[in-house]
Amino acid sequence: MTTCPRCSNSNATVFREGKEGNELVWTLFGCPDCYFHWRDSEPPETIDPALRKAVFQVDTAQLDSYAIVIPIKQ
Amino acid sequence: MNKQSELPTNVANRVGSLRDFLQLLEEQGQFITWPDEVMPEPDIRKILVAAGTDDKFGPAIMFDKIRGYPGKRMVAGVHGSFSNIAALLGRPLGTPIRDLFYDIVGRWTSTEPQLPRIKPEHAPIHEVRIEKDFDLFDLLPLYRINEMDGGFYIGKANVVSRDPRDPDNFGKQNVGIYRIQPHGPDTFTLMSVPIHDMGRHMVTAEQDQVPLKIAVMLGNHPAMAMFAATPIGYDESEYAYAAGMMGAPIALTESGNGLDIQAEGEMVIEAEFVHSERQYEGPFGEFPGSYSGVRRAPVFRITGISHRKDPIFENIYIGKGWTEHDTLIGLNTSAPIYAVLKKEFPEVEAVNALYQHGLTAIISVKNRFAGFAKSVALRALSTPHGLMYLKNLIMVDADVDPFDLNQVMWALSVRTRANDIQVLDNMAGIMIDPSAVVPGKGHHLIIDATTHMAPDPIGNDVEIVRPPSGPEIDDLARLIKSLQEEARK
Repeated sequence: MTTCPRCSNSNATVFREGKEGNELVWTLFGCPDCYFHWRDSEPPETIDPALRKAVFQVDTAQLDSYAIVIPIKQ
Repeated sequence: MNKQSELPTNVANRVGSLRDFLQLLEEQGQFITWPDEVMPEPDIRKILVAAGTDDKFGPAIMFDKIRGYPGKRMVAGVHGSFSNIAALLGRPLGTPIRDLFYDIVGRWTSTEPQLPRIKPEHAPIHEVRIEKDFDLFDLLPLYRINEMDGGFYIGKANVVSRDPRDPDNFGKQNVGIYRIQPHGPDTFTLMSVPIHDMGRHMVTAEQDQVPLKIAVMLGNHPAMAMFAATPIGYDESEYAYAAGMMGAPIALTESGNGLDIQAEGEMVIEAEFVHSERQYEGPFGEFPGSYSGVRRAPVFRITGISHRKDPIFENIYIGKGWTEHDTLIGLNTSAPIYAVLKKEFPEVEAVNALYQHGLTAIISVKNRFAGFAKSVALRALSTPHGLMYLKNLIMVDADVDPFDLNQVMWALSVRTRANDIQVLDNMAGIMIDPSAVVPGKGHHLIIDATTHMAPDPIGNDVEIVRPPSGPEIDDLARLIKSLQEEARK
């Protein structure tokens, strides 16, 4: 399990490994909580939580604060 | 740049697919294969932003050496310049945008489209069939389009869905471009709102508790990519318009889940709407040049996939303009507004809604009397697209080419008074306009930059300089250019 740079939960897993022959080029991670995906080869502005602006972070404890696009019929 | 396009009919008949069009672009010097290895991020982003700086002649770019995705191919910029649009229409590279506009409005019809059917077993798109163990992250060379996007978006898919209450109605079957964020190996979110045709299908399916099956088409006929982003009537078929514009056949077949799809596309992802579930979606760098926020969007689960043996993943760069998005939809945003207005106001000459999907547009009109252009503007605001998208509207006279911004600025400079500017506040707007006070509500602004006419007593005695114009001036301009080229040698 890996910490997600967007929601800070620690449930992310390896989704895929990019290889060229036997060389590992990158590892792709996916977060099952906020659905963020990232590659360890991406620029730090995207994947380093310390460099990411707060507006781009997701707080999964505040689910109801995120608008629903197509209202769900009750 | 000297190669000329073929005659329109020849082009239309030889372009039946994305592959055919790439071949045509290559012959005309409008297609390149990136020579070096690239990292998915940030290399692809940088190259496509650079390509977007040339909206006149920028080429389509194929990437076949994406690190970590051996054997996979991705193409972008297929609609990245007006010369690529010209090539599709069989016009010479560098054809003025105004001429392309008139070319498209002249073909604006959905009558008698040529949509031949191919049996699924003979359709190229079904060459490889996958029925289980789906994995989007293995199938496609996915990458992050803009650096703060919430995922690796599929930005140029054509999504097919049927009206759940009228599933056999071909016209109500919708084909639209909606951004798709892969969430898991076999799930994704799709961004659509209730006013979209597909949003309507989703709302109805949940209300009636019936399944909604969709087909996500990738690597499409270039005319279909244009019309999937075109605001046409709810019961009008995007397939019919695309084939009508080409004046040539676009072959259809059936997807594994019973939808009409392009037979010669690269890939189709068949999926089903997961009722009552919404998952985090976004941010995504959208066409206004800003990120949408994070919202909770509808979820789809994959039920089948078909693709060609060596599929090409077609994607788009979108963000702060100019980008491929602007060229892809610009003329097809302008044409339907023109078509509606022209029926009621034959005085309308042209519509330029190229800017951010029409957030700013310019309409030229033969002014009949004082205030006439403002009334035409109000009608434009009540067209299906104008309702929410036409935020800033500039009205100019027929002697001003709305596609020539130097001329438009002249009209603003000399034909506009403060009371020619009307602000309609607290109106419907698009959700992702970053200047909106409340997402979904905003202003409409009309600037009447047409001539002051009777009974207005001011300005009607102005005598405009009438410089010589016409073919003789065009010939002289060409002569000057050739003399200049000689002088540079």
